[in-house]
Amino acid sequence: MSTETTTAPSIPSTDIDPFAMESLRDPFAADGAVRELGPVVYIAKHDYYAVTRFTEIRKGLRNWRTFSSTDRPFYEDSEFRPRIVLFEEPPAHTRTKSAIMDVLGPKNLEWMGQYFKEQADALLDRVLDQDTVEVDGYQDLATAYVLKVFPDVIGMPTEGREALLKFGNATTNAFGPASELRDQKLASGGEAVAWVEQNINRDALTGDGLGAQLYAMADEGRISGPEARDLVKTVFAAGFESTTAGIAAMLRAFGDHPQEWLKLRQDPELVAKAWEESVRLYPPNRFGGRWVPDGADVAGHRIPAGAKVLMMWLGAARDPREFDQPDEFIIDREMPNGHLSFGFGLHTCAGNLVARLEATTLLRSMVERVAGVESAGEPRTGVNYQGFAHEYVPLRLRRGSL
Amino acid sequence: MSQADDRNATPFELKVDSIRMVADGVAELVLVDPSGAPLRAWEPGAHIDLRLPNGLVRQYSLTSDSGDGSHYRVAVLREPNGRGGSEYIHGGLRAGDVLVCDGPRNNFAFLPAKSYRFIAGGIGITPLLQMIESAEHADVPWTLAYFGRSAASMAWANDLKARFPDHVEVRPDDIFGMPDLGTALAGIAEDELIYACGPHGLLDAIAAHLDEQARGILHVERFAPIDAEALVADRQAFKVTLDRSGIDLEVPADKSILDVMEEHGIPVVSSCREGTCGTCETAILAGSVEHRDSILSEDEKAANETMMICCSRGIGTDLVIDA
Repeated sequence: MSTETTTAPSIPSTDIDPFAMESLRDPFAADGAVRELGPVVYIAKHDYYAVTRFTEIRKGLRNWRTFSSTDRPFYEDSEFRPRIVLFEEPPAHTRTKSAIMDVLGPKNLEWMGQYFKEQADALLDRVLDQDTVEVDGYQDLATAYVLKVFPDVIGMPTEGREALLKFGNATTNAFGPASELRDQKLASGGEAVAWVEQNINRDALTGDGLGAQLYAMADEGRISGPEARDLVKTVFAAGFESTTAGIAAMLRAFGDHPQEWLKLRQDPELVAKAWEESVRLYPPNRFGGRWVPDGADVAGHRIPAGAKVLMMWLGAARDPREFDQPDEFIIDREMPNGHLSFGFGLHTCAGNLVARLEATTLLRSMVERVAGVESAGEPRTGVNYQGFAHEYVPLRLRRGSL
Repeated sequence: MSQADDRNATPFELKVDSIRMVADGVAELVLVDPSGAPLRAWEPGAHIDLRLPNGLVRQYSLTSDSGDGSHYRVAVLREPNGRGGSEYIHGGLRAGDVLVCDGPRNNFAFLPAKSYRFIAGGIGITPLLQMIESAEHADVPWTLAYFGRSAASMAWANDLKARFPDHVEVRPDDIFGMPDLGTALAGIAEDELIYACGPHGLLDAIAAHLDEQARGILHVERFAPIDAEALVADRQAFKVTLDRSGIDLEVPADKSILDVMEEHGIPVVSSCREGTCGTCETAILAGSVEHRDSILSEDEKAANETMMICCSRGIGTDLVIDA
């Protein structure tokens, strides 16, 4: 029996529980409080280390050998989260991730962009049926749009695809301490599992979509058949909930800052920057999980070998050491080091280019059609271990072409 | 964000009043409001974005008198291997043309100090010109070390030397050889600030030359850090050895390591292809690298342990990477 303590003496320890209900109701406050205790903080209740600040997280994410992805706090096998790509390391990771990024990359972006634009234009023309309309940005815009375009480009059937909402919601709660909340989310996702398992099979997918392209790679021998299936599932699990959350949060940010909408109308070239700023302000994912088989040094502190680590990038999105006025939404903000909302380094979100394209396409269509955006009530956020998502974003939109 | 930047968020039009060559390959544009109205104010270090009719947007430092609202001046180096921004200005732009502009914005703020050391490489002189005027006006001691390929290519070198003979060292490479940073950086005083602008190689060398403490006083402006033109300017062919794959590859001047690996069917992970996301970061096992990414700090570039293979390049034949 060893009497060694698990905490290196110089690392502050805290009793704050980032997974308690009050933390989940306001993760920016909880993760911000931990961030201000130190660049790395020991979370006593759950025995893991939180890396909390922008510079240290970005550096750690680049160092995939030290901060390994093969394990993480609260890990258990999950039908919602295949191990492929996310829990792999080179060389296996290189093979599977280059396959998925090939599909989610330049060769498909052009036709997807055209399709996204058609659908975004049609959706907005439908929604803007009067000079002033009140909408729920989450339901009527973000969900309506992403639930249409994303499964379409993968090549999924239309019937029953609302199941993805619950599947995605379970995905972002798969890794966290056991609790009633988690049981409930996983149970509700369970109803969607059968639908997903059936619709990631090759014969359920249309012949020209992203899913079929992944299976074609298995035919070529680039990946195996089971890997192709796992990659399609990963695209399902990772690509829907987070993109919807990102777009809903972007709409909320404009609702709260009508003057930023006017700024965007005056200079529509700012669309891409405005989206990056909104996804910085409201990261759809709260953290990334790692472990340090040989220990790690973070800003002069030693994390012991074998420890589990969470990279808390939602809190780092508001790190005043990196961002001036971090809680403000400033669409032309200069971000010389970017943001961490898609992760960073080797495990950067595989679908980031597609998510960015979906969001900026919708925003561009809106800029062309909407003269003013303002909040029409109090927005609501969901309660979620790893995801940060709105579930209600009441907005008033005033129609007007550019 | 300052009030000025908020006010400057709206694009505006500028008319080209005149174009003249001020050095080999360097054109100076004088830009005025089309109706003759006074232009927005700016501070030393500021730039404007010019939206060129060929669809490119390019950033240029303002070199005119920052107190004079009657016109802006910018200087544009012709870069035949770029993506066409400078080629358009040199070849297609005429006096009387109207351009849409953004700004001015300032990413290179000129901070108060007891003395200044300015270091320019080539066209990197542009943001420093008004800083020099400002230091001179405030009677703050300063020196300028101005490096470039040849005297004829170094805009304003003769003017500066004539006006401030005791402050200015003009050091064209074709006469003096590679920049002597030992002299340029000798005897840094307390409360002194270093402002440097120029090609990546020069700025990296300056950072490598300074100890950790001195690096804190270094302020640099890179030529358009995430500018596609800078990512591909002046590329040279080189050789790279992929250690794990056991393959030697020739990387031609118009391609990246990433491009060539993909062409050979070697699995490789990348995303942004512009040195901003860090996905393709790869360990360097041996050899020299010209870093072009926006991720590595000056220290990390000097340490030469990793590189972004989507944009950074080897030099010569000795590069070995962990791929």
